[in-house]
Amino acid sequence: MTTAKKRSSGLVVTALAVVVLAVASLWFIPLFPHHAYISGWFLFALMLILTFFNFRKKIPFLRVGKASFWLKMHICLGIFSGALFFVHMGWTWPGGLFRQLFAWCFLIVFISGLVGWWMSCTFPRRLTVAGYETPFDRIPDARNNLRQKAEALVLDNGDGNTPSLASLRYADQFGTFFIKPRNFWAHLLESGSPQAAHTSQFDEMERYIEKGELGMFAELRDLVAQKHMLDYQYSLQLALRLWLFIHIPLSYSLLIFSVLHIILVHSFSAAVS
Amino acid sequence: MKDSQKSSEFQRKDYVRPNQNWACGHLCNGEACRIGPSPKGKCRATTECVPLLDVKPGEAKGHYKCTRPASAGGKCPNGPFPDGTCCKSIPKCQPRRTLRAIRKRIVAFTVIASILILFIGIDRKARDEFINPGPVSSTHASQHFSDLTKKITADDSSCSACHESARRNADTWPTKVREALSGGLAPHALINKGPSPPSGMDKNCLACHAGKNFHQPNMATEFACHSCHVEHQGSGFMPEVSSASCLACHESPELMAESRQMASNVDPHLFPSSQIKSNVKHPSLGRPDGGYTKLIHAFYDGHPEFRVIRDKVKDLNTLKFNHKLHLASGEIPELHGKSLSCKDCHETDSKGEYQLPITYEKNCVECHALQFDKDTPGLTLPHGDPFYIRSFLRSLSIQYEEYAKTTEGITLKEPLREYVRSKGANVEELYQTGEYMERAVFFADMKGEVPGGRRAPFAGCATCHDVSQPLVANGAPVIAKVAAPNRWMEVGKFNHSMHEKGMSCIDCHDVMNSELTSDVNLPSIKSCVDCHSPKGGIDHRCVRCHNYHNTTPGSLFGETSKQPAEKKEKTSGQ
Amino acid sequence: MAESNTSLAELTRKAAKPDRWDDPLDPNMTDADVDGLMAVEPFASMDEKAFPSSMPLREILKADTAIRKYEPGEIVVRRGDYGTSAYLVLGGEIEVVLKPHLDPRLLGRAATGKKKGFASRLAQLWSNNPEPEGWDEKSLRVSDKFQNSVNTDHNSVFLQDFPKIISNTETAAMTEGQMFGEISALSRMPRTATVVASKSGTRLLEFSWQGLRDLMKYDAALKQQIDSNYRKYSLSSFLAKVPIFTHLEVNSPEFQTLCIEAQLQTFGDYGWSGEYKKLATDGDPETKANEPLVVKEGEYCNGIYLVRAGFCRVSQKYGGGDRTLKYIGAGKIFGFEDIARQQENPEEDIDSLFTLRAMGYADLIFIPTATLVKYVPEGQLKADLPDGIAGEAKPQKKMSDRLAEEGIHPPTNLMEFVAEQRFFNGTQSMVIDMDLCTRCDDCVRACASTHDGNPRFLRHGPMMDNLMVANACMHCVDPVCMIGCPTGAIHRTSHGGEVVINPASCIGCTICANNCPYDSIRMVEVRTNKGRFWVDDNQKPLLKATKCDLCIEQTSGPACQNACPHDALTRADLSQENSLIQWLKKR
Repeated sequence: MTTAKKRSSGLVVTALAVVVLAVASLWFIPLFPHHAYISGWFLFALMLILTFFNFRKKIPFLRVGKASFWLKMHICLGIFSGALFFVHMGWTWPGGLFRQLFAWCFLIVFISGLVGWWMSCTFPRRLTVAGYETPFDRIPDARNNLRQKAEALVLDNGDGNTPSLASLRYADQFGTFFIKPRNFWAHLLESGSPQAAHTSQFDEMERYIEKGELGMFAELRDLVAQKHMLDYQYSLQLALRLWLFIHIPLSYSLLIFSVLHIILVHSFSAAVS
Repeated sequence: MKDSQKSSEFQRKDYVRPNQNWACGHLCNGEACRIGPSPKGKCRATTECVPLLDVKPGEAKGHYKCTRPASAGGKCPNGPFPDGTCCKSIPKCQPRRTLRAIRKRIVAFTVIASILILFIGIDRKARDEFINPGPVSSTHASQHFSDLTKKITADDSSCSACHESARRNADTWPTKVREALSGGLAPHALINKGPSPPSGMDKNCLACHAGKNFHQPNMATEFACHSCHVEHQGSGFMPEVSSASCLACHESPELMAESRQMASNVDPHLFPSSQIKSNVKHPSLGRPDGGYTKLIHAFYDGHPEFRVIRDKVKDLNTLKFNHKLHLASGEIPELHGKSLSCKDCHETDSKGEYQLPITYEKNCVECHALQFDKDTPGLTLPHGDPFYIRSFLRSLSIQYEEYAKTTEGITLKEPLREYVRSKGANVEELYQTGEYMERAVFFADMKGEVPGGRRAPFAGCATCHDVSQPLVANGAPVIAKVAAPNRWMEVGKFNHSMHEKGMSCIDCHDVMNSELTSDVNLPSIKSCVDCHSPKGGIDHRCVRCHNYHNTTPGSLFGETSKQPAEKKEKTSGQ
Repeated sequence: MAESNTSLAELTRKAAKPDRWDDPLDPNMTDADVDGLMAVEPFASMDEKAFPSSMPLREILKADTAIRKYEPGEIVVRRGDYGTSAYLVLGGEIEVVLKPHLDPRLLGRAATGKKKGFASRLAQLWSNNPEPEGWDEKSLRVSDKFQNSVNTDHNSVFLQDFPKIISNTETAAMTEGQMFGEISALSRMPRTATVVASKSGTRLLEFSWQGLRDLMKYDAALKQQIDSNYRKYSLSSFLAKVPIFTHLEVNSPEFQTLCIEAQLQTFGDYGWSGEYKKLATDGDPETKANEPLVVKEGEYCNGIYLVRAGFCRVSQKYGGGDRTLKYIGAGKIFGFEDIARQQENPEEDIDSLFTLRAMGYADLIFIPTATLVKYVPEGQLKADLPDGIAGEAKPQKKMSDRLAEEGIHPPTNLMEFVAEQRFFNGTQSMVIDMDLCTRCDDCVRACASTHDGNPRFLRHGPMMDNLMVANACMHCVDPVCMIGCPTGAIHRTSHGGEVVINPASCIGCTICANNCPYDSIRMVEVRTNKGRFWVDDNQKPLLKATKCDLCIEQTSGPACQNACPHDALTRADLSQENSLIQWLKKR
C-alpha cells in the first residue's frame, strides 16, 4: 500500500545514509585530520534540529510544517545522528569522566528514543484492540465510576442484616482492587495472569453463591473485567508518556554538555596550545 | 458498538485539559471538584454555592436561597444555613501536579543538575580529572613529569605542561575558543587533508623534547608533533605512529617533488649517512639519486630495495668460509650422526631476535680441533694469539709432560721422562726441525700444503685464516683479525625465532649456493613482502622498521641521544 | 453487555404518553387569542371541517403559534440564520433588507475573516490565560451598546440607530396579511434576508414548522400559496443547478413546466436531532424507527428523487437485514440507474434495486419518469450518470462493486457506523486512527494553545474498528445548533462556511448546546483572570457556548490536525463518503 511505502521512504534514505557514512568512515574520512571537528559540528546542528521538534509542539499556531513531518524528520535524523555519533568517536568508547558522561547521555537519549518509537508504533494498536478507550486524564473518573458501581452492587444486594457471601468476598478481594490502578507491569507485558486469577476466584465463588445473587455476581464479574481493561489502558498510556521522562530531560542535558564539549575541544586544542 | 470497543463513561460535559499543570487532589478518586486548583497549584475549594439573600416585598429580613448552579447539581435539598452560609463545604485538597507538570519539573531539575555538574567539574580542584579526555601515557603521567612541569610552568596541574588553558580560569576559555575558531580550527581549515601544520602546542613539547628538525633537511613541510603522536589514548606507551602519518608525505607526489627540489640546495653533509657497524671499515651506504623521495604507498608497494642488496655490498671478513661446502657438498662428515645444518653453527640470542656471533670455541672446534700430533690427539694447539701458539710449540716437551700428568695419569718421574722423550722423538720424525713445524702449523691449508712445496700432516691456521709473514724479525706470523658486522641492517628490527614458524633459514638466505665469504646472504625486500603485505596478512607498518626522528628526541630524563638499542646490539649479531 | 434472561417487565417502564400538544410554542396563548386569530385571514377563510378531529385548527393555532410584539428596529430574523418558524404580519410593518446586507457586527456576529497577525499569533506562546476559561470582563459582552440592545424578554436584538441604517439600504416593506420565512422554515435553508420591525406596535404571528406543516396538510389554499412561492423562488434555482437539467434555459417554458411537474415531498421529523439525541441518551437508539421509507427495494419506483435537504440512506437486502451502501445528502440523485435500465429494456418492469430511507428528515423532489424522459435527452439518460457515478450503467452489478472498481471501497461497516451515528452531517469531523494515535494529547494541547489555553474538543468519541470520531464540532451540513440562537452569536462564516460562535454576543442560553445531536457544544462557566466565576445578579454563573472553530483566527488551519505527529488525526468531510476513504488510503 502507498501508506507503508510513504512511511518507509524516509527510513530507507536514512539507512542508505548510515551505510554511506559507515563506509566513508573507513576510507574517506580518515584523510581529514580534523574530521572529528567536522562531524562534531554536524552532530551539534543535528541535536539542535532534533530538539526543535519539542519547540514545534509548543507553537502550533505558527506555520512551521506539520508535526507529522517533524516527527518523521526527528526519527530519521535521530537514527542518522546515532551513526554519526559513533563516527565522531572513531568507533570507540571515550575515556575521561566528562566524555563518558556525555557519551552515556547521548546513548541513553538515543536508545530511549528508539524505545519510544517502538512503543509509539506498537502500543496504539494494542490499546485499540483492547477497547475501553479512555482519555488518560479521565481514567480516575472512569475508575471511580466502576468502584461506585461495584460497591453499590454489593451493598444493594444483601438483606441489610446478614452480609452475603459475595459482599464478604468483595471486601476481601476486590475492596482494594477498584481503588487504584493495578498490575502495571503485567498489563504492559501483555500478561493475562491477573485477570486469570480473578476468573478462577469467580469460578470458585460461583459454587457457593446463592441463586438470588447470581445476577449481581455476573455484574460484578463484568465490572472486574472492565477494571482490567481500564488498567490495561492506564498501563500502556502511562508507558507512552513515561518514556519521555527520560528522553526529554536528558536531551537538554545533552545540549548543555555539548556546549562545554565544544568549548573544551577548542580551548584545549593543539591549535591554541 | 462492538463489545471490545466499549467506551468508558465519565463526565462528558467538561473538556479534558491536559495542558493544565495542576489537577484537583480528589481527581485520583475520580471526584475532582468544580472549582479546581489555581494555576499556581492552590486549592480554592470553598462551598458549593454563595447563597443569595432574597427579600420579598413586605419582608423585613428576607431569607437565603441556594444558588448552586445546575452543573453542580442544582439547588440542594437542605438549603443554606440561616446566617447565609452554604451548608455544603467542599473538602479541601492538596492539588497534584499533572504528569506533564512533573515532567517539566524533571526537565528543570535535570537542566540545573547538568549545569551544576559542569560547574563543579570545571572547578580547579576537580577539573583535571573531570575534563581529561582519557589517561595520558605513563611517562606523561609520572611524578617526574609533574615535578618537571611545576618547575617550568609554576602550575600545580601537569595538564598545563601541554595545555595553556589548564593554567587559566574557565572564563578565559571562550577567548581561546575564538582564537581557535579564527585560527587553526576555522571552518575552512577543517577540510584540509594531510598532517596538521605546526601548532601552538609544539613549543610545549619542545620544552622537554629538544630538537624537532631531525628527519631530513629537505623536508617540504613541517608538522605538529601531535599529528603523529597522539596523547590521551590510555596509560602505557603512547600508541605507535600510524603509517598514514608517514604516507601523508611519502605518498604525495607534490611534496616529494618539492623535497627533491630542495635537496639540491642543501649541503650534502647535513644528510645523515648510514654505516654498517663493524671492525672492518665498510664503505658507507650512499643516498640514492634524488634522495628518499620515491613515492611509497606501503611497505609492499613502492618501498625501495634494501640498501645492502641495492648497493651489492660485499662482506669484507677475512675468514674463509664456504657455506655451500659445509651444507650442500656432502663432503663434510656427519656430526653426531647428522649432516650439518645452519643451526649447528648459528644460534639466536636469548630473545630469539638476532644471531649470536660465531666463535671458534663454540662453533668450529668440534670439527676443526687444532691437532698437530696425530698420535696424541688429545693435545691441541691453543686458538687465538699467534704469539701464544709459537710459545706453545717452542715449549712442547713441557706441554707433553703436562699432558701426561693431567690426561694420561703418568706421575712418576721415570715413566714421565720416558713419555716425553718418545713423543719428542715422534715429533722430530714428523717435522725434522722446529722451524718447519712452526711454518706447518701457521701456513698449512686444508690440504696440508705449506708454502714452499712441503706438506704438513694436518690442516693449519691458513685453512680458515689469512696468515702472513711476521712483520718484524723473530716475530710470530700475523693472522688477520676476523670481523663480521653484528647486523647488516641497523634500522629494521627483526626476530628470527618468530620467522622460524613455517619457514626455514634457506627460504630467505640463499646459502646453498654461496661459496665465498664475501657473499652477504641477506634476502631481498621481495621475499619480505610476500608475507608483510595485506596479501600475506602480516604487519607492514612503517614504524616496525623506521624511526622518523634520526636521533632520539631529548627525553625528560636528560639523557639525550643515547640509544638504548645501541647497548643491546653489543651483545647481538646477525 | 448482552443480557439474555431479562423478563419483558424489566425492559419496559411506564410513563405518560407524549401528546402532540405537550410542548406549545407559547404557553401563554389563550383561547381568546385563538378567537382573535380566527377572525383574520387566512384563518378566517379556512374550513374548520377539513381538519380531522384529532387535529383541529384551533388546537393547532393554540399550540403551534405565538403572537409576538416588536418595536421598531427589533430584528425578527437574521440573514444566514437557520430557523424553524414562519411569520405572518398581523399588524404594523416590517422591512426586509435586500441589499446591501447589514454589517454582521450589527447582527451580533464576529467581524468576518479576521486572522491574527504574526505578532499576536506568536504572543500566544506566553499570553494564553493560565486559568481554565478565564475571560476578561471586556470579552464577556460585545459592548454595552449591544448588550443594551438585547431584549431579554423575548431574546431578541434591536438594531441601534435603526432609521439611519435602513436609509442606506434597499428594503422591501411587508404589511398586514403577508407571510415570510416559510420556505426557510420548511426546507431548512438559511434565511436569505434580515427582517426588521419598522413600526411600533408591530405584531407578528409566529408559526412553528409543525404547525405550518399541519395547516398546509388540511388547507389546500395555504398549501397552494406556499407551494407556488416555493416553486417560484426556491425550486427553480435548485433545479437549475442539477447537472441533468443544466442544458435547459431557466426562463424557458420547458424549465417552468419542469418546476411545476416536480413533486415536493418531505419525509421524517424536522426535530430529528432532538429525537435522535433523546434516543441516543436513553440508550439503544432504534434509529430505523425514525427513518421513514421513501422507496422500497423490489418495488416499482417511477421516477428519480433529488435530495434538497437532509439525508437519505441507500441500502440493499443482505441476509436477514439491510446493508447500508451509502448515504446521500443535498444535491444527490436517487433512482437514476433504474430509469437507465428501463430505457435499455423498455418491455420489462424494472423494480428498484435499493431501498431509500430518509434519515431523520429529508426534503426530496420527485421527478416522474415521464417528465424526465421529456426533458433529458435519451443519450444522456444512459451515458451521463450523475452523482459522480460515471461510465456505463451496469445494472447487474451491485453499487458496492462498482465503487470498488473505481478504487473507492467504503467498507459497509464504516457506512453503517457513519449512518447510525448520523456523522454524515459533518463536513469537518475529527476522525482519529486509533491504531496510529499514541494518545499523546498533542492535538488537545495545540487546540488549547490556539484558544487562550482552553481546549475546544474532547479527544474521545464513538469508535468503529480503529476509527474514532472525536467529540469536536463537525461543522454540519445541516447545523441544527444554529436554530434558535437568540442573538445570532452562532453563525456560519460568510467566507468558509465554518460554524462559529461569537463569544461576546453569546448570552449562555444553552439552546445551541442542547440542539447539537453530537454534544459538540459545551457550555462553560467562565471565570475572571483570577479564577473566580463570573456570576450574574442572581449568583448564577455566566455561561458561554464553546466549540471547535476550526482555528478560524489562526492562519495555520486546524491546529489539531497539524499538531498530530503521527498523522493519525484528520478533519474529514463525512458528508462525502470518499473524503474519509481517500484519507485512509493516502496516509
